[in-house]
Amino acid sequence: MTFHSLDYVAFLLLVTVVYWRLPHGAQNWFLLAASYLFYGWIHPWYCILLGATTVVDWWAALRMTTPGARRRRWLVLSLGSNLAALGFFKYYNFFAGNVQQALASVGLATPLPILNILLPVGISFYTFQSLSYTIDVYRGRLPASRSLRDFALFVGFFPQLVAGPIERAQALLPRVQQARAFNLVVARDALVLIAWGLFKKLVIADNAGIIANRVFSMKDPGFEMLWAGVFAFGIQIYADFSAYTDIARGSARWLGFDLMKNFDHPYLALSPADFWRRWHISLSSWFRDYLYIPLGGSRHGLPRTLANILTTFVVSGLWHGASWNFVLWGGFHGLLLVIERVWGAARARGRSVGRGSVGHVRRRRAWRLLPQWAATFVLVHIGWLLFRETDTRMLWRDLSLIPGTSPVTEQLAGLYLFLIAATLSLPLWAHSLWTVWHGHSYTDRPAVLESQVPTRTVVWQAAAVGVMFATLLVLRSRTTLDFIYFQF
Amino acid sequence: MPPSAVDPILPPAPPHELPRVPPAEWSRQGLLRLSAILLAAALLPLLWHPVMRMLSSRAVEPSYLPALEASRERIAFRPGPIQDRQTLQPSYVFIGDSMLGTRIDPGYLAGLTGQDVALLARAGTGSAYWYLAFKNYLIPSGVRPKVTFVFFRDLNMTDPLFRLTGPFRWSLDEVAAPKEPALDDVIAARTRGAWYRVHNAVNAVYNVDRANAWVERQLYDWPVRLWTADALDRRAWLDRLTFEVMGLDRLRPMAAADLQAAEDAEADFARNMPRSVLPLIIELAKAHRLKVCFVRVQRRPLRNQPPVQSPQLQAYARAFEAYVEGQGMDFHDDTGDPAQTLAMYEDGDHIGRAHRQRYTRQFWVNQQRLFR
Repeated sequence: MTFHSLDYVAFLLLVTVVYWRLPHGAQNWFLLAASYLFYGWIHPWYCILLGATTVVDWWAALRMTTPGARRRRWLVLSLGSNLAALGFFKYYNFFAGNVQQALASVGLATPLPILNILLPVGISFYTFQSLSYTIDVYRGRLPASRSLRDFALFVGFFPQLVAGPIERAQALLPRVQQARAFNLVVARDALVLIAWGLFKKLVIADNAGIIANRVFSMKDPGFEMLWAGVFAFGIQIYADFSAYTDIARGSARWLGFDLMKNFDHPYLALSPADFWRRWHISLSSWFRDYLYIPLGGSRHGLPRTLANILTTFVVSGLWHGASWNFVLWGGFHGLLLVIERVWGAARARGRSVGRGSVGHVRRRRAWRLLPQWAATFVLVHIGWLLFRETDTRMLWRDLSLIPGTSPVTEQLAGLYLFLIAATLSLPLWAHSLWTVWHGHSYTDRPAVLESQVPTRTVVWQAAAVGVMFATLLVLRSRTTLDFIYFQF
Repeated sequence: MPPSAVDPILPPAPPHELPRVPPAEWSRQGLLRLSAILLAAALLPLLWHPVMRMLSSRAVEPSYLPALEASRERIAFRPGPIQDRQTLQPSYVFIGDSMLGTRIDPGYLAGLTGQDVALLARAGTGSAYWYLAFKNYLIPSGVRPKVTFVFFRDLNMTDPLFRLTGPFRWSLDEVAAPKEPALDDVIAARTRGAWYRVHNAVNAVYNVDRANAWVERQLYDWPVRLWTADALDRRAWLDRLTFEVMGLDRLRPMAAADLQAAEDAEADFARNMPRSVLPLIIELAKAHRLKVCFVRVQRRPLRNQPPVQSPQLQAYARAFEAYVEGQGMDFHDDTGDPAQTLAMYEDGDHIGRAHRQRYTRQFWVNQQRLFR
């Protein structure tokens, strides 16, 4: 079931109505059943894998905390089972294909079996979420959950099951365990968040996606056309993924949960490191806590730090998909961060535009940051080219294109596509600049009491939802695309 | 050492925005405010009615498919193919989409048969288009070919919704009369589901189709206004962009291919046939004493073996054949033909240009009974 379907609207309404009529324990059982129904809607067998991951990690964590337990052994079991499932479903064909190619290049034709199975949706997300729990229990930062029901709900909670945010057990598990109360102010804000998410997905992402898909399906686009397509893809992937997060967070808030923020206006970033503090934050912070820091972080001198950064980003690239272009994409960003670290460009960190509190940006000086912003924007989009182009031969061709060499009609076509994508992206820029101007995001620290909400806020909310719905009705893309991050 | 002190190169997990347990909050004022937001969402889009009355100058006609929409800014019916048929007086007529266009070489086939052959092929069309082409082009032309071949893949012939809406709809406009009650009934039978009704109701209440046509035109036209003010020039430029600059022949091979696989759940011939255009075509053929042969093309072979077919799909094909032959028409299934090897395929299910004549000859040989 996808968030942008009428099935989901009906499902969420029904779940919400029934859920708030139940006592706490029954609420958790009900949510768990609803989550498995949601996940198995198209392919019920997905639930078997989700259930197996859940039971193994719950059992392993529980055993870790029994006196005299060989804790490391249970951690290895959890890590091994999760990574084996991930490796089998996601990376086996990639591995087999590359091994076969390598053997063929030395004259050894050894056909390896290729698996013809679907990658279970969301496996990378819930595997990482579940792993963070067992690692935290192993590290003694978290008590093991005695309740399989509560732990299963933490892993399988439907709003964030398929594409995150990847929640930490320390934050989400207590909310599962505690009683929750319906808060109308929070639910109202959540409605606006869901409307904004649907608008971003159906109007911005899907329409920009048509441009990007068309350009990336051409066999010989010129420079202008290609980069118009890359720009459209940049708009698509941000609108698409952040839309998913918004709908996930909005849905969770209706049920009394608060999921973490996953995006913080990433296209306002002033450096590659700044970009990674704003893009897919739940994954970046996961890699930081469970890979970069265990590798040594920056504690062992500059060379080791740079190696750790590169390793982290290459693995992060591979997490996105079993394909060399994702490895290249991760490596490219790792390299940017290495350069930034070496050259000390990281001093831009403290001057971010639009980060949570942007009071420290003097607006009258913001224009001075424009070159820095533009350079980051361009670099990020070079990264998107690596991310989107799965055919490596085409990639080399794309990177060697020179502006102004294609026929004038094609250059004009590139300009045309760029302008359409730019028009579609206007609401995203307006939202980000509003945040910069006001110094905080609309959803930051939302009110939880009716008395804290002035009437004008409600008027703005009503107008925004009305305009978004009116626009969505007429500009909704006729070609509805799946959320991009479903494939990871 | 807390992680945040180790290295700020990647972010720590941000704090959650709401308090761990938000207090219960439920008041009459809050409910009124929520109602105001929902009311705004319901009422604001109604403004499309007056806005469109003011801004949209194009004539809107009642739709020829009221099951889909009440009114439509349509492309006019294109009568050219009727005259073409009358001029050529073909003995064999072929109807279909790119599956046909990439398989049959009409000039070559005419040479083999010694009789004229005509194609009514249009890429990106579905069975609704094929039915209308048969009804509104072939029948009115007065031509009575010996055989009319209709090419299709898997379930397309019993799925009238295939390539019916969105960008495919413009092709349908060109073959549709001002009213198409029989096709509308078939579509209505397929769109009786609850969600279709919701979609249709929303479309009707908010005047979505008209507003959509106008807003999309503004969105996609405005950059072209930068280099041409003339509306016809703009349309010509955008057509050139679609069909030449980014046309099918500019696409990567597998991107041009339409690899949509059949859904087993839909492979229920007994259930779907009565709600399809198949009986309509057969009725028309019988009424005008025409012979129709339905040709199911073979999908792309896998490792030079015929594509795998699920038991449901095989049962569907058998039921299709039995029904069509029971009605006095013909059926031919390419699937499993050892002569149709992977090497003949260019992209997806399309046959390569270099192998088109080879396919045409094989088809002629296989169908000698009909070409006599």
